[in-house]
Amino acid sequence: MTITPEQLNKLASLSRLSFTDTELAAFTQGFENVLGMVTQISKAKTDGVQPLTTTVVNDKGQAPSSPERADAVTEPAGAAALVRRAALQGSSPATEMGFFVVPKIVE
Amino acid sequence: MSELLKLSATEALAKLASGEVTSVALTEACLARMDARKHLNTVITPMAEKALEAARASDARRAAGTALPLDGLPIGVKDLFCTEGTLTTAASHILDGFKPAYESTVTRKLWEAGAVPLAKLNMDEFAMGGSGENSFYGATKNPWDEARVSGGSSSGSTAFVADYQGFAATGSDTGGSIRQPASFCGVVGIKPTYGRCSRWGMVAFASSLDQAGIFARSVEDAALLLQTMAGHDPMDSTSADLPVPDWVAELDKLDVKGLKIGLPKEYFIEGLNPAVAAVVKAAAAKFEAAGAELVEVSLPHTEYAVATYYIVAPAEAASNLARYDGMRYGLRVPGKNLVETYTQTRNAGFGNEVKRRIMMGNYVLSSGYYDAFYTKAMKVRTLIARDFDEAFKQVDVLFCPTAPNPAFKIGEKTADPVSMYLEDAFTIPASMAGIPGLSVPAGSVNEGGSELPVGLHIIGPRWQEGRILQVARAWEKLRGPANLPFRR
Repeated sequence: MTITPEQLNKLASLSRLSFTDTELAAFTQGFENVLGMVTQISKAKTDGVQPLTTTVVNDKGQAPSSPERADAVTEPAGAAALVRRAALQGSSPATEMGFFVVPKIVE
Repeated sequence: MSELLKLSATEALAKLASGEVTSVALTEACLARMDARKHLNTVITPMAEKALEAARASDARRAAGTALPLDGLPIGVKDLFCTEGTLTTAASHILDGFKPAYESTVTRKLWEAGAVPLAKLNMDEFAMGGSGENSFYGATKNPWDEARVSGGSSSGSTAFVADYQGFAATGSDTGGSIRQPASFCGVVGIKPTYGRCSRWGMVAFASSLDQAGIFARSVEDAALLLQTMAGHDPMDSTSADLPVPDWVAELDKLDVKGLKIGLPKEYFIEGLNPAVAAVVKAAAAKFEAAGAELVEVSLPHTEYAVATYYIVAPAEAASNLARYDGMRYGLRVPGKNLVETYTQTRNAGFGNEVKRRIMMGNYVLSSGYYDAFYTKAMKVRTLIARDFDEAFKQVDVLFCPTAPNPAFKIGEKTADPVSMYLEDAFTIPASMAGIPGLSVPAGSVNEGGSELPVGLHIIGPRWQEGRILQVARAWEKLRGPANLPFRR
């Protein structure tokens, strides 16, 4: 199965990735091989078969209803919230006054 | 190597309980071994200070008579379990500097039971791989033959346990990432039923498949650790609200006589290494001689399992990995604007295999391809799960090789992703069906002058971890002592 450089570049752009021409040439072969392999599923007979949505089922094959957690605030409040925020932001590339610093969004 | 390290986890706990040994002594022995065996590259982040602090606290609890079930047992953690305040990388450059503000449920349960954290262990980046070679931190070497891979994606966990650097290690299994490396390094590795362990705090790869499990040097140790990790967690909506049985207490209660073992004919085919097939068939024959019944069964949709997996897992991965944008944590490579910053960060942060899977995932989810690939794959997944349901109407467990080949050489398959993917052909189907599987050392084969372990893959029905643990335990008795590298 073949795929064009234009298709791959569009896919890369949507994936927020990019490739140089050299990288793309190296990438294409492996990608096409994998695509060729996965295309084999077209041969499987699936008429009338429902897609599998969950494997978590009970002994009767039934999926349990989605559980709901109690509607409670789990994050700390007050001074503890600041400590929590500092911990959560501790791995951030850039923060200022408790905010994440990001590149300019509106040009 | 310290003789203490040759103990099983169960034996070590007994010696801790009797006062023959302290947790500090065990922990120091493990840390010294880790240091002496650095070249195997099992560890991403050592946790020596935390380990010794936890060991001292454990010894104090024992002295006070308030010991916990796993008190003082030093273990390793695959580096995709978030550990509060300790670097968690998933072996990816994009998680540079990421120190989680929270602890994964699985590791929290282990620490609450008194286990001692030794290290965060190497793996394929984001658990994507079957050899460990996709780690940003380099491949882990197999202790049986250092020119070979230790398997993947839990490459560090399996070599760590096989090399006696710790008494057990956590792993995760999406398509075989516990069972295949366990087979390659000659240790026990179990992937429980999907939903048995909480995924909360595990770095996500493919959320409908990811499941935590354990590596150990005996079935008893695996049962003990797994029953500590398992259980319902309200923080994971796919975690099953079921009681966790006492698998250790049940371990020896199986009568092999009358046990029905299914041998799926689709697994014993061309492409399977004949020497590997012979080891697994010999194991089945020993069960038959002990009174078990061998039954040939069919899992007719096995041929589509690898293709189905490489649609479903990348689709989920592409969505899960969209969160890595360089804004809130980890690596950031600044660009001229926001989109360029995202792109440059992801270009630099992700390795080739991860990029391939993101691209494949977004391809199969694209408008125009979604039904032909993704919806179709989810339908085939239903058929794969039904195959197992039908098989388990006839037999108690299924036996097959864990992997079609023993450990291959580092670099041997890196140029051909499809040949690498096919190494997971025997573990993927059970993952697709969400059912439990276990690899236990069955024997060894000689490959290129190296004696390499081969795993017996035991697959059981949903929620029947107890049954596969019992069968594996029965196998240990039939087989005799495991043949780990440093016991030869």
